[in-house]
Amino acid sequence: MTTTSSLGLGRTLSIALAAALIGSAAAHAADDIIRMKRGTTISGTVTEETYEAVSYTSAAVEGRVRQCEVESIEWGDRSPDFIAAERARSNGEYEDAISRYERAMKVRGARKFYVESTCTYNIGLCNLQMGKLDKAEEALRKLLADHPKAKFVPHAHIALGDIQLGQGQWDKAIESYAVVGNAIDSTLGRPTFCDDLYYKAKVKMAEALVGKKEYDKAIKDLDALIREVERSNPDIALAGQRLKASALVLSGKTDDGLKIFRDIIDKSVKEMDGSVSAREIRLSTIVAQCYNGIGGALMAAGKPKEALLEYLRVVTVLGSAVGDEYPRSLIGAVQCFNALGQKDRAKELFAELKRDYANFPGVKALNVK
Amino acid sequence: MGPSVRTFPLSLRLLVQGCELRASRFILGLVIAAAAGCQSMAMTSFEWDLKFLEAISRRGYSDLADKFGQQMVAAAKDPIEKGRIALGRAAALLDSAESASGEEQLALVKKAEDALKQAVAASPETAKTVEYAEQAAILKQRQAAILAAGIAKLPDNEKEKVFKEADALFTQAENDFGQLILLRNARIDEIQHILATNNKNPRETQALEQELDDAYFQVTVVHFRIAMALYAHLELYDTRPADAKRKELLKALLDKLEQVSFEGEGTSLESYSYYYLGLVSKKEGDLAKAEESFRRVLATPRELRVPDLIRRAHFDLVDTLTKAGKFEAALNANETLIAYISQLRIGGDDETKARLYKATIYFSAAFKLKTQAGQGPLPEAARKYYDAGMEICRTFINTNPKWAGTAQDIINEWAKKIFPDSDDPTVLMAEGRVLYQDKRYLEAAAAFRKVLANPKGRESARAEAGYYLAMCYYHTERYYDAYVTGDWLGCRFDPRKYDYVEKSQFIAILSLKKQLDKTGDEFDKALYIKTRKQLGEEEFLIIEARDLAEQGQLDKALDVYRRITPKAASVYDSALYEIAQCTDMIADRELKAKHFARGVEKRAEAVKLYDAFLKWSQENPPAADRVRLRQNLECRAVYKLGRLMLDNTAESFYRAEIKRSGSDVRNLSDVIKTAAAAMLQPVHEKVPASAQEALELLDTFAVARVRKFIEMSAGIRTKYPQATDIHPYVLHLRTMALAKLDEPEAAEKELLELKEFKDSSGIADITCRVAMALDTQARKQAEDGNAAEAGKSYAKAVEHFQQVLTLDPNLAFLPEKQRFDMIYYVIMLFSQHGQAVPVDPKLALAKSFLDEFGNEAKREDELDSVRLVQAGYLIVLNKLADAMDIYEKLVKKYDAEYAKMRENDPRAPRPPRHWQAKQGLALARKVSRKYADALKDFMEIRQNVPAGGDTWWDASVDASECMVEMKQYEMLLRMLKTTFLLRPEMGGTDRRNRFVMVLGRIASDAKLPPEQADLARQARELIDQINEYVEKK
Repeated sequence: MTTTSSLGLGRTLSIALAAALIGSAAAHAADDIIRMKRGTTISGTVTEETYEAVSYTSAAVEGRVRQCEVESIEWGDRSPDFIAAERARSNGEYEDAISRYERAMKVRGARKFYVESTCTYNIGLCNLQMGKLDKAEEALRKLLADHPKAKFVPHAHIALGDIQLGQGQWDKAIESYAVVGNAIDSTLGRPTFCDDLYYKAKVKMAEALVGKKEYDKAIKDLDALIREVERSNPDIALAGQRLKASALVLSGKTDDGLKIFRDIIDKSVKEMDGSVSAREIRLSTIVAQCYNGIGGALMAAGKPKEALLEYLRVVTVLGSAVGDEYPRSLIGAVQCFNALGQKDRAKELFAELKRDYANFPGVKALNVK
Repeated sequence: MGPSVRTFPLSLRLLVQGCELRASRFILGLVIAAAAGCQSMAMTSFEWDLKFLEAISRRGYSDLADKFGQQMVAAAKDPIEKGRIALGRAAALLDSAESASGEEQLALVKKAEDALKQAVAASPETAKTVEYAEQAAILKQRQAAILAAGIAKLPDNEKEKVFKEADALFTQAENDFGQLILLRNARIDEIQHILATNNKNPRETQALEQELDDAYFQVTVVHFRIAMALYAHLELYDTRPADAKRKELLKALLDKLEQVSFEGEGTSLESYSYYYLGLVSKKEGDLAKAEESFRRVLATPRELRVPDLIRRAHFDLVDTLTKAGKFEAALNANETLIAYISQLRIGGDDETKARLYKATIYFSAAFKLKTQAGQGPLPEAARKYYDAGMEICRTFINTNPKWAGTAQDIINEWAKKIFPDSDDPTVLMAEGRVLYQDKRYLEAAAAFRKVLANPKGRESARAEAGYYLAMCYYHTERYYDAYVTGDWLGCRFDPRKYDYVEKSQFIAILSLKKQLDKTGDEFDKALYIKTRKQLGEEEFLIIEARDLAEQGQLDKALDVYRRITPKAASVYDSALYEIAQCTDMIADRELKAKHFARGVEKRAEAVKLYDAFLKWSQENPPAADRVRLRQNLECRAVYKLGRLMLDNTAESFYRAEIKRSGSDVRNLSDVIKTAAAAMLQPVHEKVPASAQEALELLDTFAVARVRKFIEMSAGIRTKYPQATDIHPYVLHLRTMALAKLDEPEAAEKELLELKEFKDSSGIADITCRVAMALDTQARKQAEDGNAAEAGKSYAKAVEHFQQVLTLDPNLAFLPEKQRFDMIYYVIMLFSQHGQAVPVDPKLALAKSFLDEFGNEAKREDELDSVRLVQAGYLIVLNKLADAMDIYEKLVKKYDAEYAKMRENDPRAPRPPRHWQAKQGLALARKVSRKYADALKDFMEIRQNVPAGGDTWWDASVDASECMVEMKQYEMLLRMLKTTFLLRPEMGGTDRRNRFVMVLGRIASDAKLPPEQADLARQARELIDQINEYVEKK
């Protein structure tokens, strides 16, 4: 008999595993197991997933491990279609990825609780990437309805919030983000979902407030957040500061905002040296956001030349590795070149936008002749 | 035979008559030398002038040769002479055309054509000669080749016309060579007829047989020329692969090459024909045949090998195997090639090229597997090959700046074929570089931008990409883009780690300056000033100073450098070093302008500044993050100091100053004091009493200075482990310095270390110096009676010289006027101690030397020495007629000389060289079984040279061998009995054994007539006596 304490402590592991292996009852989902209290008996077949889930459970100080902390488990039963779909998604081949995810969901024997939820979530993401917001929302809502305990539920709430944010539905967005950003496990006294998602949702909530033009509230919430995570989660703190800077600029305190932007850039660039690539990408993205923020502020202040230099730092140097910030900077640079009368450069960058980012918000609204 | 007024060479007559031959002093010197040489060589003036014409043309003075040729034609009275001179002029012009290009080449060919016409006009008979046919054919081939080479650049509407012209000329050339064969065959028939019908004396018969051999060989040479014409003709048709004529040409070429390989068997023509057969087969896709042909070239017997051809065949074999998809075999052949080059121990580029070619083999293999796999993912094996190729290229890019570009070209050629959308930074960098070189800056920028923005890339590559990106924008006048790129690099990457960062910041500032110049905008001005200040005012000064230095404003640059203080810690060390470097550059400028005093003074100042920098640097160690940079600077300073310390300019200058001071002691003292300071020597208080003493002091300064460099550069690789780029340069100087100090073994060690850097240039030069130092040491050891050690040193010297000749057969690293001495020196060294060098290459070296310098009349003695060596080699190779020809000429010349000497002094002895020539001639005659002539010569030598000397003994042995062949037993026994009586050691073991063998032949001659039977007994007795003497001893 396997228990949630046995694997981690090791005493009864072999006996328990052996006993469980002979058993024939249906397996518990890992998601279920990790919610069980310490010492709960797990009946049924012990799978690799069970083993992983139990070992995580045992390793936790409180005897319970939050769902997000088992995200990296190699589940071991992914079908070829699922693997191909993942690859297609990472290559940006979203249509192909969606059809493969759909096929993967139909594979007999696949764990419904895991594969179906994951595929549904990813289909939502693919649609989101393609700008098919209705379909994206549909998939995300399906996931929330069919698999309320699945791993990607908090992610889905945030993604839903992003769709609403993009459509200017500020209150709805805040509501969606709040599911994650306000969720505290009363037993543990910690966020229900993992810290990253919790704080990310907090930042997003503040972003929606900025969208609502409730700058003071947004700045207040962000100050609180920054204080909370300054040491434990510097990336979130940086994101918070960046948003605060934007809020300050938008609220008319441009100099204060620009100063924060510049501070973030200095700090991030210093941290880049020798950092691993994943961190550098994160930091570069934040830096790009700041440059774009400064560019926007300067453009709004009627300084297209100064703004251009900021946008060019993203366009010329950081490149497409910074995700959405890149097309954003291209748009900014096009506007600056237009304003400066350098039509050729404006056309050149606009052509790139039309070619590679035709559906990016703001591209269609550009007027370059 | 001295020249009469009639036969006095035109070359001298022109000079005497003060004609307007606008030759340089050098050429005039040659003319005089040539004229003087004419007297001793006893040539006719006509022959001499022709040779002179060829010689100056070969030296590249085509205009002078042409003018001279024209004047010769005008001066000649005999129509046949006129015709021959015009032909010679045409040949000279074609020689010059060979090394010219473009319009100049066309003009030279046209002149050659006119000269040929002139030859026929002067003497219609000329058109029937072999020389004419040969020059006419070459002329047409050259004309065709020039036209063919220019077709690609012509406008489309002219291409067809010129193609046809070239085509027709090639065909004419091929036909003309055919005519030449007919003429040569006619001569063969003629000789055969003479040999068959006439009763010539044996000497004439032998000469005719030799001429017949030569004539056959010349026919094969012409066949080879036809093959080469067909080869060029075929290339013309490369743009028309489906043309029926191309097929005809190809067939004709292949047949011709097969014919030459058959008829030229046992000569280098055989190897050449196989090599070209390989090239054509490779081009036509018959890779199996190409492989077979190249392998045949590589199988050439050692004595017939032409090193350059072997090397080329190796490379082409590897390429053929790669193209044939035999990758394993290609890799093996490549390893063999590397081993072959490596075994020559010559360093240089070939080995590197072969090592880099491995990448091409791997990429080809990967590409083939990819093609076989079709659209699917890249097979695992292909991936491995691809990675192996990339690894080789990456290594070259990261460690070998000289070959980095080639490695990038290879990546650009292959990686894109295998992974068209690769985002591999190495591939993108290669792509960017090529585009950048093509000045396609914006396309290049796209590639560089991807590398810079890729966080997975190596930081150094990203920094480099950033620099080039900034440059791309700078060149396209996108100054803001250039600025933000350079500025970003300064923020993101550590300038102390990557040199490109500082350069990029420089570009950022320059770009802003340009932007400001362009707009005059206040914003741009403010940004420019702000950026300058951000960099730090003093740090900016170094950029300004470098900019000035780059523009050649060295004095202004120095002023700016000197404003930098130790406060600017990040640039102060660089500034100190660059101040010395700038001063060094000023010195070079002064010397170039022939301001010697100022130049020498500035060089002395530069030496002190470099030295001061080193001292400062050692007293002020850098912060941990500047260690690499500081090591680099220090190592560079050591190298620069070495260059200055090994340079002879100061020494020559002060030597001249001393000579000018004469006996003025005060002046001498001043000169010595200045020289000591300039040569980094302690202050010299002693006043030299004479110019001689001052010169001696100067010598000691020079030696001490070199020693000082040896000392300061010792252990450079361990002292500055991070300055790897500069190590080969310092090692080069150390090798040179040690050779200069006559410490050849130490120099040899440095040379070996230097050769680890496969690409270090100047290996031939430095190897030559080491070889000379070894030879000098060998001579000293021999003088000290240490024969064994001397032998080892000689052997090493010979080995090094062989390497030099393999690396640079023409010794092009030497100034032209030194080449004569050096090649002469090598020939003499080889002839005395070069057992390791096969006779063929030694003979070839002597022959090319004589071809090149045969007219250096002032060096007649040296040339004769080489002629003697050459004749000696010819005997070894059994080319007796050639050897005899040389000896006979020399003997004749020496006899005439000796006759003159005796007119002045009837008792004058003959110089040893005369006997050497006579002995050579006698030996050649003996080997040719002309015993009577040989015996006469040997006896003459025996009777005239000091008895008991080496020459006397050799002549005695050879004479006795001739006598026994001629069965002159009685005379022989009489001579040997006397010899034994007077000198019972019989010339030492070797010669004694030969005498005993000769006696043995008498003793065992069964055909002795009864009346001479006693001679056998006498011979046996003499043998017994000799043996008894040996046993007793």
